[in-house]
Formats: sequence, C-alpha cells, structure tokens
Amino acid sequence: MLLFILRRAFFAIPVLIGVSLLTFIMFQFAPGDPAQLILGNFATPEGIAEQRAIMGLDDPLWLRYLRFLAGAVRGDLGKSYFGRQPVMDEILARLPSTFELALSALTLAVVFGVSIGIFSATTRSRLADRGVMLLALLGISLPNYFIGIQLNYIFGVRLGWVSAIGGVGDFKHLILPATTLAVAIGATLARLTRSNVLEVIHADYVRTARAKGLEERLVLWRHIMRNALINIVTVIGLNFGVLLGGTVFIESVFARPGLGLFTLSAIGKRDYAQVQGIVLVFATSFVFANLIVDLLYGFLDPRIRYS
Amino acid sequence: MYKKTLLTLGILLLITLLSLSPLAAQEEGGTMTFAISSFDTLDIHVSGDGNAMGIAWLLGATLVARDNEVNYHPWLATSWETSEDGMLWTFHLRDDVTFHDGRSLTAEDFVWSITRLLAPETASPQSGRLRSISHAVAVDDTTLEVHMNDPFPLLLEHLSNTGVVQPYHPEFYEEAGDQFGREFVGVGPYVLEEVATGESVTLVRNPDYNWGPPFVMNQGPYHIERLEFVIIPEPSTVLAGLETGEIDYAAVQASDVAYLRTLDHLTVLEGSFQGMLPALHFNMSKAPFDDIRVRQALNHALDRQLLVDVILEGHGRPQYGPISSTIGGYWEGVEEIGYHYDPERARELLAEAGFADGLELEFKCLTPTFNTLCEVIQQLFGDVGITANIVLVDASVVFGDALAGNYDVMTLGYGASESDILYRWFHTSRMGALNPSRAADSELDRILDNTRKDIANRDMWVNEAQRHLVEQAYVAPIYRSVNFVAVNNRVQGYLENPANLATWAAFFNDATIASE
Repeated sequence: MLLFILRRAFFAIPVLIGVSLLTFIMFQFAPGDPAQLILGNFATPEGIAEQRAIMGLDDPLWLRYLRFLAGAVRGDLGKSYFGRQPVMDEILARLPSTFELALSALTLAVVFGVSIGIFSATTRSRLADRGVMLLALLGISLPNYFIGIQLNYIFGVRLGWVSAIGGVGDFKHLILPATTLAVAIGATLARLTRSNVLEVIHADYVRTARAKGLEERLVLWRHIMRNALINIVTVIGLNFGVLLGGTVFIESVFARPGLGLFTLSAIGKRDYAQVQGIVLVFATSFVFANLIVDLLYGFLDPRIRYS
Repeated sequence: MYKKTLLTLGILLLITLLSLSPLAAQEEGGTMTFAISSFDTLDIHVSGDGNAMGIAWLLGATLVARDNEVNYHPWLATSWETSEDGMLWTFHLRDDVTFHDGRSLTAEDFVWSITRLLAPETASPQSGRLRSISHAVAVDDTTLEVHMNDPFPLLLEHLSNTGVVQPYHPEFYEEAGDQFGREFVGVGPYVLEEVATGESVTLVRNPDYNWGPPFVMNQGPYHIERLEFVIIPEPSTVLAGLETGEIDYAAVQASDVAYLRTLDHLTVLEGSFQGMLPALHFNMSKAPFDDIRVRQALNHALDRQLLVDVILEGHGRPQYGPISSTIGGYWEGVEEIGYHYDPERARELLAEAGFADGLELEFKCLTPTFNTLCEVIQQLFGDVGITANIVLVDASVVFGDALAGNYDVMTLGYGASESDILYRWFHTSRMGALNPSRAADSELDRILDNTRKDIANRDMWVNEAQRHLVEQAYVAPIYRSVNFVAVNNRVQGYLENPANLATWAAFFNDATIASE
C-alpha cells in the first residue's frame, strides 16, 4: 500500500512542473506591460523603463521561469502589482475560508446527493422518483449565482434569518453559501447514484446476497454501494474544479473573504502576479485532489493497487 | 395666569422630551457600515485601489487642504511660501500634531515619506504626480523644504487632493515590516483597528484629533465612534444590505436608483464623474485621421444627448471638452465651440475630405464596458455614411494597442481631479506612456508647457489648451456620467457635496449616527 502511495505521489511531480511551466508561459503572453500597469495614469516613459529593469522583465524567458520556479518551490509567489503584498500570504490568509466553504458544500452534496439517489432508485413510487429527478435536473441547470442571490433575498432580506450581506463567522454565515455551492454537485451525485444503483440492483451477486438471507440494509451498503462508490468518488474528483470555480461566484454573492473572491478581484484589477499565484495554487490543489482520488481507488478496489 | 403656567410647563416638558430624543442623545458613538467593492492595502504609496485611498484619508492628513472652490487652506502646515523661481517651497508645520501612538509629528516624517514615495524601488503609481519634486529637507522640526526639479504650479493640488502625501511613521513602518499596509499609524481623525483580509477594515475614532482644516465644519474629533468597511463586490448583495439596514453607505448602480428611492430609510445622493470618459480617440499617425475634417465629421456625427438618454438612462450630461465641468479650470467656452450633433455638416466635411462615397474604419471598443455605447455610435456613424467595424478589446489590451498606435478609432479616457491631466495625456513627450491619440502638436506642447511654467496665467493657458484640443478634434468626448451613493437616514449631518473629491473624510466630518 505504501509503495502504491509513493508511486502515485511521485507521478505528481512532473505534472506539477508542467503546471508551473504552463502557468508561467500563459502570463508571459498576457497582453499589457506589467510596468505600465503598475505605474498607471501617471507613468512616464523613463519610469516604465526603470520599472522594467527593477522587475527583471528584460531578462530572457528561461531565466525568469527558473526564478519563478525557484520562488514557487519555496512558497514565494512574488508580490502583487497593486498593494505589493506577498501573494503567498494573501492566498494563505484566504485559504481557510474557502476550504471551510468547499468542505461543507461537499459534505452537504454527498450526504444529500447520495441519499436522494438511493431513495430515487429504491422507491416504489414512480412519481417520487420522477419528481426528485426533475428537481435534480433543475439543480444542475440553474446557475449557482442565481440560486445564491435568490436564497440571499429570501432568507436575508425577506425573512431576516441570516445576515443579508454574508460574511464569515458562525454556522449561520456558512449555511446559505454552502447550500448554494452544494446544489449542482449534489444534483449530479443524486442522478449518478440513482443510475449506478439501478445498474447493479439486479446483478447476480446482489441476488446471491439476498438469497443467502442478508439484511436489505447490508445488501445495499456492502454490495450495491461499495461498487457504486468508485464512480461516485470519480465524479467528486472531477467536480473539484467545479467546486473551486463555484467559489468565485458564491464568495462574491455572500461576500466571503476567500480565494474565489480574491480571484475575481485579481482579474478585475489585472494583477497578474496575483492571478498567476492563484492559478498555480488552484492547479496544484487540483493535482492533489486527483492524487487523493487515485489513492481512494486503491482503497476501494484492491485490484487497482496491484495492477 | 393658571393657563400661562400650564403652557410654560407644557413647553418645558416638550423641551425635555426633545432633548431626550435619540437624535439629540446620539452626539458621539455608533457604528457606520460602508460597503466597498474592493480593497488592497493601506500603504497608499503602492495601492491601486480607490477605496483603500479613501480609507487611508481617514487615517491621515496632508500639508494643505483643498475646498470646493479649489482654494488651498492650512492643515498640517500653518503657512507656506514659494521662492520667486518656483524651485523651492517652504512649509511651516503645526507643532501640536501627534501620531496615533502618541509620538509628535515632525518635518522629518514628511521627508521620509516623500523620499519613500519617490524612490524607484517603491514603484508607486502615485510617484508620477510628484516627479517634479527633487528632494525634501527638514530644516527643523516644524520647517519642511521641498526642492523642485522644475517649477510645478500644481504642487499644492497634488499635496492636497489625495491622501497619498500624508506623513508615514518611519519607525512604525520598520517595525511592521511585511505587515505594513495591514497595520497603519497616521495622524488622522480615525485609528486603524483591524484589517480582516478580504473581509473588512475597521476604524475607531481618534479622540485626540483636533487639527482639522479651518474651513470644515468640525475641526475636532469626528462624532461617529466606529467605521466598518465591508468588502462586498456583488451589487445585488449591496442592495440587500442597504435594504435591511445592515449597510449605511454604498455606491450604487444607476439602474437601482429608482428602486432605492422608494425605500423610506435611504437617501440617494448624486455625484459626478470627473475627467473624460468615455471619449473616442482618433489615431493621428494614420490616414485619414490626420485630416482634421475627418475628425470633425466624426465629432459632428455623435448625438451626445441621445447617448446620455440611451446608455445612461438620462443620468449624465453631454461633454464637449477634454475635462468635465466638475474639474477646477473647466472652460465653459467648449460648449460653444464644441461639435454639436449635425449629421449634415458631418457629411459635408467628409465629402470635402474626399469621402463623399463613405468611409470605412475599424472601431476598437472596450468590452464589456462600452459594448452598447459602441453599437449606438456605429448606428450614428452609419447615418452619415461611415462604416464602423467594431472590434471588441479587453481592458488588458486597450492600453497596449493605444500606446502602440494599433487602432483607428478607440474608446478611451481618464478620470482626473485636476487639469494637469491635459499635459499628461496630450503632451508629445508623453507618447509611449500616455498620449494615445499620438498628437505631436508643437503649438499644443507650447500651451501645455505654459500651463506648468507660467503659473501666474495658468487659468488662461488651461482654457487655451481646452480650446486648442476642441478645435483640433483629436478626441471626441461623449458624456459625463453621474454616480450614485445611497445613505441610510440614521446618518445625519453629512456634507452632501464634499469637494468633488468624494472623500469620506470630508463627507461625514460633522456627521452623527442614530442608534437602531
């Protein structure tokens, strides 16, 4: 098992180097001169030249990439164009809030999505099945910022149960954004769970399990769900990007000081130093999310470990 | 007699009741909540954020202060003089000003702050404002000398109109290190309590502040105890917060104004944009835009009132000159000599220039900001026989294209609070940094040079620059938009038109807030 983990972790290294290279190259081709951007409306031609020299913008590309990589490895992502704060600090300060949101949303999505899927697959009522799946379709189709604004209006302004201006703090601040972010992923999981359960519910080994007199609850969890879980874990892994992308809108609507909101403001200001850092951190966390999914595969299905 | 006593008693009772009413009782205290869309750092030398600057203003003070009529008044400096040749300014500072940590302010702090602001390593976007300063010297604790590279009549303007040239506390700066900007110590009416990254900025009242400039209502400590600036980028969330009363003050969009005015607990104030945005810029280094008749024709083709009505829903005014009427030095003559809507004249001018059969041009348009505007202009151009092919360009590309001269006609512009923007935007020496229309006009340069050199006649030269720019039609200004702010009615006694600087410091200098 340990060897399996190490091998998978090792494969992540070239991917991460590729990520850093792509990120770096991408921002080299971003239009606009950073020196002009920083000096803004009061810039003079001499000032811009001076600034380019200070920032090392006239050095060859490979040298600047190595400098960037050496910094990134040590956790130094440079300083923001505006405000001149270390980008890494800015990201770390916002990470907990985004982590809290993403984790709660994921928990909600898994708990509700999987239960609804199982209910939908096993219920005898065709009407309930159709109704629930229609809701799931709606959940997938509605844009999350629309859901967010509506929820905020209903519970924040009309009912006054929560703060209408969002923010962070206790559970009350978390419930609406987490729910909003959970909707699309939860709905996807509900549909997926339903179809996966339906697929195996009539399989031979399920019939065998029932035939040997196993409790229905155990049949469901030990035999049906264990096999459906691989697909569910895959979808959660794939949805990690959706989750991160979702935080951009959700954190903006609910004024949560997280990475999503930071992304939005960085792009708005065209602070490429910040955007570059965020992209790198997002991409890296994506690589790690996939690594975890990979490892979970091995845990869920021993055959994968030895192949 | 009996009745009279009763009346007197009644009046006395009434007075007592009035004095007990919450308005009278709420002299000091309370928390006012602002919604801001963004924030970066309180180290305003390197900040690129208007809100951060607004907040920094409340934490500091400047040498001189500017009123609504563009007169300069003593603030941290009690008096000042300038040498005959304009190369030396001497400021005499107050001796009773203290930083928030209790240390007295000295001229040395100003020297340190100006030096840091101008250092290339600081890379301050604001340093260009003060490029004319060579260096500063502290003669003694209360005498500050500012030595110039060249005479610069706008020095007081730049020293006063932003909080940028407020004194920093050098020892505190060293101590704070990387955290400077999240931590701050100044000499202003408010003390920084906390910067919660990405979330909010909280200030508390400085009870020791009593050095306000003489022309403001209240020279002493402000009345409102706490100011909380909450970062909310999403307009619909701001709207929700205004509606529930969780937000007391926020900039709002024109499209929401009609709704907000129906809410009894809010007052909507109007402010005006300063500068020239948007304006069509014509690329002088390309034919046929080097032909004045073509530029004039493009100007005459614009129905500015229609654009105000359609694009701004009426919230604005047509603009004919290179600076808005809300900037000191504005010359009213531009409205006379400016190019009014006249499609006939436009067609004539085009014919004279040899385009009787029509003219095709590439029209670069800042997206998404001006998408609709450009479409309407495309129609207006079409009416006079100009085929404008719209190319949408993103904000990241606009400046590069403009400075490289990679366009025919383009939507561009600037915000500015003073007329020196004309020099910075149009002078030939600015090509490559600004001057997107690439005008290389020696007559214009002479006029603009004089706006900086001939201080005694500066007003005349600024007028002359506006006249010349309109006559040459290097740009086609379009309109001046109006911006809106919603304020909760529990805030009372604020200044409705704070010196067009939109500074919060001036806005609620004497304001109070009622408790809920």
